[in-house]
Amino acid sequence: MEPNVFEKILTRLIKSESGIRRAILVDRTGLTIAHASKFSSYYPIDVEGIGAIASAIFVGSEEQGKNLDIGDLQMVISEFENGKIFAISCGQGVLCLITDPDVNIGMIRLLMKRTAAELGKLLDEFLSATVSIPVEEKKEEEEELKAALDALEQL
Amino acid sequence: MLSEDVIKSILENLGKMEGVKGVVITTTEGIPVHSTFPPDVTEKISAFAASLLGKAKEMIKEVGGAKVTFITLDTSEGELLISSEQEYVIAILR
Repeated sequence: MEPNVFEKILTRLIKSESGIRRAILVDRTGLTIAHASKFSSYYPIDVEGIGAIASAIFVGSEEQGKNLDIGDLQMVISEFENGKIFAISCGQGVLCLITDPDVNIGMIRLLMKRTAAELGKLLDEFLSATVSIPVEEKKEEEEELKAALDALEQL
Repeated sequence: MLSEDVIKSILENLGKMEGVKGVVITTTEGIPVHSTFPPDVTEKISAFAASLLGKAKEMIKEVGGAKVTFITLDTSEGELLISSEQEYVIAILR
């Protein structure tokens, strides 16, 4: 997979419509996978925290939908006095956008749905990839562990 | 505010006019209110019509400050008419 592919997609999303301040991609446990911002130096925020809260809200709402048997959750829109937060499901993750208050909601919805479909595929591929440790490295690690255990036994 | 029935009758009357393929009523935020198109087409037309109107208003404000009341888009396969009043936008494809 191309490095920084998620950041590139998020940056393209931010550039596609005025009023988008920040885009964050998180997994369902709240871990931030990637993020992009239009004015990062002007709006210093805790991206990890925002992403974790957005993911928690989304997963919570999803659970409510399951309990009420009204199907899968597609999007959560939180409207504030000075901005809006959009969250949409994308495969095993959640895409979160922070925007200005007077943004075109219809356009943001459309852009998010398109981007979520693209990100969903990549994210599933990214999360299903297994990291294999080379055999030599494994042997070295085992030897180090054995040496450490011997040292402990001698004590 | 207009009632649901009145809006439906307006849409039906517009739909009966010669060459009209469909009508969408949306908010200026691009959220569809009523439509004669399928949901996916409605979503696209609403978003782009509201966005286009917003851009046109911005441009007109920069050059003179007049009020934008109507936009006509001529295409090779027909035309798109967009009109706005207060917080609603109507888009007609014909």
